Amino acid sequence: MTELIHRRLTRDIDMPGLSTLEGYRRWGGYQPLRKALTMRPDDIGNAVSDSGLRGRGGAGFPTGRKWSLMPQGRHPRYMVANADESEPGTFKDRYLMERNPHLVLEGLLIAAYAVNADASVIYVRGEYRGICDLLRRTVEEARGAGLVGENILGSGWSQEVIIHTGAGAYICGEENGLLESLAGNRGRPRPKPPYFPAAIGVYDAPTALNNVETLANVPFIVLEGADAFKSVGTERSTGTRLVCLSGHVNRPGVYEIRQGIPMAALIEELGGGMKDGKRLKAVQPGGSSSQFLTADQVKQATMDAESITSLGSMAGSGAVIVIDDDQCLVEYTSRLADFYYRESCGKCTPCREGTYWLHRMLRRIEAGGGRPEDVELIVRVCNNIDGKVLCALGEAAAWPIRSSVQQFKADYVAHVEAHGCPFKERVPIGGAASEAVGA
Amino acid sequence: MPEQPYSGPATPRAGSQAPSGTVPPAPPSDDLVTITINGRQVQVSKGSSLLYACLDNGIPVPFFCDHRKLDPIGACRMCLVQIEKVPRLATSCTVACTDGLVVETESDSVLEARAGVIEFLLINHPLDCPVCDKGGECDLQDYSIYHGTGLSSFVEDKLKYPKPIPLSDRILLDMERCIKCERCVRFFDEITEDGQLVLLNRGVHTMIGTFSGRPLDSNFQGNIMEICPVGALTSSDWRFATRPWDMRSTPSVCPTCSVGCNISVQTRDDRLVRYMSRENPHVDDGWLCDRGRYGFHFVHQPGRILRPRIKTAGTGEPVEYEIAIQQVASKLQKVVQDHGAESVGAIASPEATNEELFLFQRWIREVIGSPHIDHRLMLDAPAMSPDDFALSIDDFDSCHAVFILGDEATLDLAPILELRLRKARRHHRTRLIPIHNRSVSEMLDEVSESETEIGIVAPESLHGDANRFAARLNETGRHARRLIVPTHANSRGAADLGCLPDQLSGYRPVVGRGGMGTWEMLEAAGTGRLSALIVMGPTLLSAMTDDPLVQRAMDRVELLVVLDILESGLSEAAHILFPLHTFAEKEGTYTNLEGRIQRLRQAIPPVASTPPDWRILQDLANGSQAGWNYRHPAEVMRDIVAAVPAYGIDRAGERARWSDRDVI
Repeated sequence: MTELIHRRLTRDIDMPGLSTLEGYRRWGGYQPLRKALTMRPDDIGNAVSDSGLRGRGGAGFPTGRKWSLMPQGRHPRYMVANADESEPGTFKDRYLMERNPHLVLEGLLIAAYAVNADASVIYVRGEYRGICDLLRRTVEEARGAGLVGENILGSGWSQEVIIHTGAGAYICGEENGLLESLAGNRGRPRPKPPYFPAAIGVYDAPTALNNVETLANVPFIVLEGADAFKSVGTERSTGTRLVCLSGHVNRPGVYEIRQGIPMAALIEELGGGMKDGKRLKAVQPGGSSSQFLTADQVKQATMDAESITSLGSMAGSGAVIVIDDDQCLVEYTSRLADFYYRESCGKCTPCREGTYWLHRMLRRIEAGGGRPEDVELIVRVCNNIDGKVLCALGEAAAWPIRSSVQQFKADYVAHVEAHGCPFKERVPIGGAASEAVGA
Repeated sequence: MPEQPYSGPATPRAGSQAPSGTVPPAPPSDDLVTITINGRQVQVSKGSSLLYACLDNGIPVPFFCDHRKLDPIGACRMCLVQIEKVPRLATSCTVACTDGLVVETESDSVLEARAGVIEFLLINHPLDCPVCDKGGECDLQDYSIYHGTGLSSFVEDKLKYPKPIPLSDRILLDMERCIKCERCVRFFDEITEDGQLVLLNRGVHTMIGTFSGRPLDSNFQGNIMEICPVGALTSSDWRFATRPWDMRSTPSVCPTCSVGCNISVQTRDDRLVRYMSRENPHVDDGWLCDRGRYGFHFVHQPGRILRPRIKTAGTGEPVEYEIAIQQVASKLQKVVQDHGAESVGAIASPEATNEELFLFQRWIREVIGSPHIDHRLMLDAPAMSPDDFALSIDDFDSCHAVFILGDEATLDLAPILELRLRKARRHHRTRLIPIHNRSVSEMLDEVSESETEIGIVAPESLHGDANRFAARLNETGRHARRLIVPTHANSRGAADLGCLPDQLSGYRPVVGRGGMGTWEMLEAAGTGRLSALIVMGPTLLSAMTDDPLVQRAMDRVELLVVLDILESGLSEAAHILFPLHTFAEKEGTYTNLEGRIQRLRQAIPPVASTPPDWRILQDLANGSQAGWNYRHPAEVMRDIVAAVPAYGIDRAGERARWSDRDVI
């Protein structure tokens, strides 16, 4: 078990007082910041690049490279932490922010220093009310100790940190949706190109935008070095990962694993295996937007991006959702379709209309109105979304839905033939209320 | 922490609201680059939009949300094209052309993507074509035929909305038809800059609504109906009136103000139905104001004067045209015999064409021999000169700052100027300074050190202030130019051609004593010093017949000859009355406020049975032995050019050439 887990971010996570400045200092906190302020910003960027750290929010983009895309010398420029954690199945960022908020703050400050930011923001989803309050207290605590504000630790470097709350939109976790919302506009993405945040971000200024967990890794890299960071994990997926195990397992929760461990080990050993002795039917390894893995694929998979991608899915946000074989995949997928239809910002045609269409179709099939041609139609609609949309939300809907239909076609065919859901014995996921159709 | 986190968009559009989600276009570049479209190499401006590079080179690419006058947003996904070495299809509207770009617009993946977008747009779009006013000029119809698959696979329920939703008394919104291209919202963000329309809700439930929750309150609403690619925004003015293919379209200019926005007058069965914009980048830039756009209903109004009338013993009786002409001739001859040529006063219409005004003032000055002629209703107006309009609309872009004396009241005289000024600020950083009741010294204090190119926009009533301000600026070594905004469509032409008491055509000073201005003439007519008044309408006098000064003049004067379009107190008081034709019923030219000479074209047969207005004037003058034999307004224009060489332009639409600066 200890080989599967490797505690860096979650070291002593249950230590009393860890969320206070005093406790964090005992944990070893703010040593990395002190060291960082003696380094050249570029050297920090290089260390992060060498470490192979990739974004932990879902896209997996190399962090050092993202920072290096910001044009030199353009001011103002901003550092933003993406704490809008909204990918269904994902709860690692809240875990970290609730228990070790200073770690997140320190990572943000070092990153801000590394990119020469003029100000920093933590954008927290509005539903995390308690965390918003906690982070504000954390910033004030840090300010009181000269860690935030003017002349940090006497270094001459200053940085203000603003806690900004979202207002209930998945699309505001998308980088451009977030930055638009931050600037006070409707939270809708802008096309890339040209709106790559590193070049044109919030208020059209260069912006480094990183996930909370990504930033939480930065202090370690600064203090211990890129090689130490890489000593755990695989060649292309270096370091540890906070995975969110959920679904029909005995021990759902957040586990800080070494990247590269077998997925089966995560589920069986860490997760305690399938609940109620059921059999595993499917897994979404990277949140609700990832393609499904069948039971056979799960046996082959290891917890790193290379392996999961080679099996036709994605490592995504690290949310591993485990589904047993008593679960109707059509009903499950129709819940996904509901989510994307509700969360679509509506700006681009294929996502706006396509997610509506998929939501209506899947509801209809689950309710017993499925037709033989629907399976092919769902795939065609997903294909018309894939690659044609303005941001990744469209694909976040199309990929899992298409994968569900293609890999679990039997479930769909059974619905069409039975004019209803053959799994109807079971209580639906959301309770009887989930039977209501539409908005 | 930076003192001002928001230092404005990185793109050169200071002073505007930051548009959300739009892609700022590159500033126009002189550099050309070579790109390859479907195997053909073409040269385009570096950084220009790939979509327009295709369209301007004859390669059709469908699109909904983009528009030449708006910043692109890449929302509709209809303009997707395939760019070599780029794995995903790209929206051509957001791609800036770079050297060596290779693009395919008709590959299988592009065609499939287009069919997909059309299919998506049609799943919630109602099958309203039979009852939708946009039918026949609808982009969605056209692209569905060209790029769609023809059969729908959608068997779910379409979204329903109450319809239509009145956005105002002029514009009706149909949310079922709306394809969320956001052109209307962006129009109010980027063009009028008052943010009146916003998007409400999210996703497929996105709706268009007013920010205030109250009806749209804008003089530019009609434009969103034109730019809407589908029938989501329709006009209540001509709802269900016609199909586009049943209309005839005649190019002309709007007669409502001095800008002369270029329009297409669209008629059905010889009745005007609507105007559409006929984009002139130098004048209207493709926009119309509502006052102009919906201001043509007077053409078919019941109060049109239809036949010549002569008043004998208190009541006016219709007479034959020739009789009326002959009566004017004989009565005028008597007045001149009894009281002299200087007892005749003439008031010209600032809405008459150049050809008519030229003939009118020739008749009064040369044939009758009176110096009293005016087209304005102003006391103590300073002498006019071509410097009054040295500043053209195009020149706004090159000004560092433009002062608008009188602010809204001035812009109300020529509403489109507001949009042109905002565009100059948005794209060229021109500073706009509205001025209310400030002295010239105070205005001078407003000018900053580095601002050397200054524009001054002022109404006639502030003509003196504008002149003095310009003079002081030029003394400081700056280059200040004025644009005096007149009140009517051809006020400028009337001044250019000498319908002024103290200036001849071409702004030559009158030799000897000048004549009386309008107010003086009215007073003189009321006290018997003037014995005859000839009023060529339409003029503001027709609305002022309750004014004691006007009444005394009409009652006292021995001979009142009126030519006009609509019945009024003036037409009733006339001793001899002639009907005139509206702008839509005749050929001729108007000169706009910048000195630009533009053609009117006849769109419908005349409502009144009399000859064209210019011919009435020729017949009247010949009644006083003028000996004219013009056969067509173009022949009159030849004589205008001889008298006023500045009017010798190469083609209609150019500015009159008062100096070397005035070429185009």
